[in-house]
Amino acid sequence: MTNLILTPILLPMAGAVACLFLRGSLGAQRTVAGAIATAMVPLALYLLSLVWRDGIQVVRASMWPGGYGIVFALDLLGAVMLCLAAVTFAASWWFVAAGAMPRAQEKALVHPLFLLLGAGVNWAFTTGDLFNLFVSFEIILLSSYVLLAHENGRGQTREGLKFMLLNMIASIFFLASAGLAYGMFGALNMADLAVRIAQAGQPAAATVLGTMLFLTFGAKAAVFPLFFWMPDAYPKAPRGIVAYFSGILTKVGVYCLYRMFPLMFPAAETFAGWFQPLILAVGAGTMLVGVLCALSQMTMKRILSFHIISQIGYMIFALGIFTKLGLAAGIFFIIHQIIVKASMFLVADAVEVNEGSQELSKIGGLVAVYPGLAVIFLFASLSLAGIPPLSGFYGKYALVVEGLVRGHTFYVVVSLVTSILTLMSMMKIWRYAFWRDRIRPANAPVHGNRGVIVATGALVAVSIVVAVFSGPIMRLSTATAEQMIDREQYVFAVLGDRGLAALRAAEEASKP
Amino acid sequence: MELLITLFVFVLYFGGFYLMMRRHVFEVLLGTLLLTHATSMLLIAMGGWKPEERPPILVPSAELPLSAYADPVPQALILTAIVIGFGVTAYLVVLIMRGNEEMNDMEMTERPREEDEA
Repeated sequence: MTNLILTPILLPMAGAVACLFLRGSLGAQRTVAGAIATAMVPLALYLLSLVWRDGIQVVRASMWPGGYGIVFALDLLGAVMLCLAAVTFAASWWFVAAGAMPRAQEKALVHPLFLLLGAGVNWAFTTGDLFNLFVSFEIILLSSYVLLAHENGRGQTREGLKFMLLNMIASIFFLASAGLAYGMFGALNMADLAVRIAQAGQPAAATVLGTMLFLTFGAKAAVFPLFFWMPDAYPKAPRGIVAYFSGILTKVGVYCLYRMFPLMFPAAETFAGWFQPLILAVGAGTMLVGVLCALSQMTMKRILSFHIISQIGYMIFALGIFTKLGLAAGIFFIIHQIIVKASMFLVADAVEVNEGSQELSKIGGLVAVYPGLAVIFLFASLSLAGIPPLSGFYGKYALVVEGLVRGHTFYVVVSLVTSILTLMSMMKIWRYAFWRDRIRPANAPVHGNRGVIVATGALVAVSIVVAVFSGPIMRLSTATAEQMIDREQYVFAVLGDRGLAALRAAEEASKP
Repeated sequence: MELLITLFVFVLYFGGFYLMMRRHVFEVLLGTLLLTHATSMLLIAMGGWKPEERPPILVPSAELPLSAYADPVPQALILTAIVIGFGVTAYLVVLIMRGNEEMNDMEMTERPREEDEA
């Protein structure tokens, strides 16, 4: 038990406040935010090693016994997500600091809001409480509303408004489900809720709650058919920060699904009867519809935005398989996906910074001018499609094997078709932006900015590290999946002996 | 009493979703307000409704069983939700006002402008 797991929340939050006071000086804001963005990476890695070595870390506010006070709990799943969030945050922060956006825009509110966004995301990964999760979602949403609409030019307001309204509906739905959870089972703490759902023995009530939570987090994760808000909004995020949006924010929803279902609804009658077909069907629909929409787009960021949706489908599919290996494949896929997707958005941003546009009809022949960027993009896109030596392959391979073993042949076929279509749409970007004759839009900036390409390359290097060390990372994913399946560990860490005994008794009683 | 609250929640959700689907931005704003209130009422209903319950302040001399007191948790949740809802609504109002200044219309979907058609 260590209070250190609160630092990923408190540090960016303090930084955000400090940056608000330093609004006059961009240099000072960059120093504070940069120090925090960079320090988060070793901190998150240290926390991961701590959880790996000593097990789940829990902080109880004021030492209230578990289930009553506010509880923060960091298990392997949360720690892995914290690391990914920290790496993506650092890369996209350095991209911003390399001068990706006009000075006036950067000076306005970007640094404090971005830090606040990071604090909210880290909070979501650490909290052990459904209501705290709601609060962290609101922090994430408020800062992203402002980042999307603030100082971002004409015509952004309407898009910002739509994004905000749709997310408000999802939040209201979340709040209603938290209320129902409390009304039906009398708890908000996730471990306590797991025990009480097992004790209550009411599959119908558990199914209602689970479906509402699935809808809420599905809307946040942009699954089919709830993804419509996302591809319009994300490409409008400030340059650089869009990588954090695309890499992390939708995965917060996926994380919540990964957290809730193995912990609260693993009972055979609720999961196999209703949730598994639902999750698998939604996963397949998300994969296919996302990639088909991507194929028809004509700007880099919109293609990539629809790809986020398509790749979310794989993660949902992995959750639907719901075995140790399936979940491990899903976690490996998330690790790979966050980094690769964020670096692809950074490539699109780097093109926009240097060429003034990322519309495929206006740019061309980049391979001759920016060979480094072309290599970076090639690595990232081949990895996204799952070509063998790169990191995307291992997650997809494990997913396909486990899917076939468990007899989900139809969904495996859908996922393979999706992979081919993914490669096709990546080749579309490649053919238009990089290969054909050189075209430069009329409003292209005179001076290029190579700094942003360096920041992009650093993130792609991380994805290559993931590929090289795929063995140890697969072991980490498997250990994480084991911890998720074995929910007694989590319940014991949060609630102690009594909670564990209650869970075991309830599971014993439900057996025929 | 619980039936009454349930009906009330239903009416609020119904009105909220109806308003959310309107074209005019101001009606949509009112819709979000109604939805927020509906959810607060739902949370109150989830805490149970017994008129004889006392406020959750323990009086050592009274020696009452814990079931005599009202459950404070839903109220704490509602309080937090109201504060958050207030902040979000304030930002929404600012956004709508700026949209109105920028584009001179208050509708959710974009009307084709003359220069686009030309």
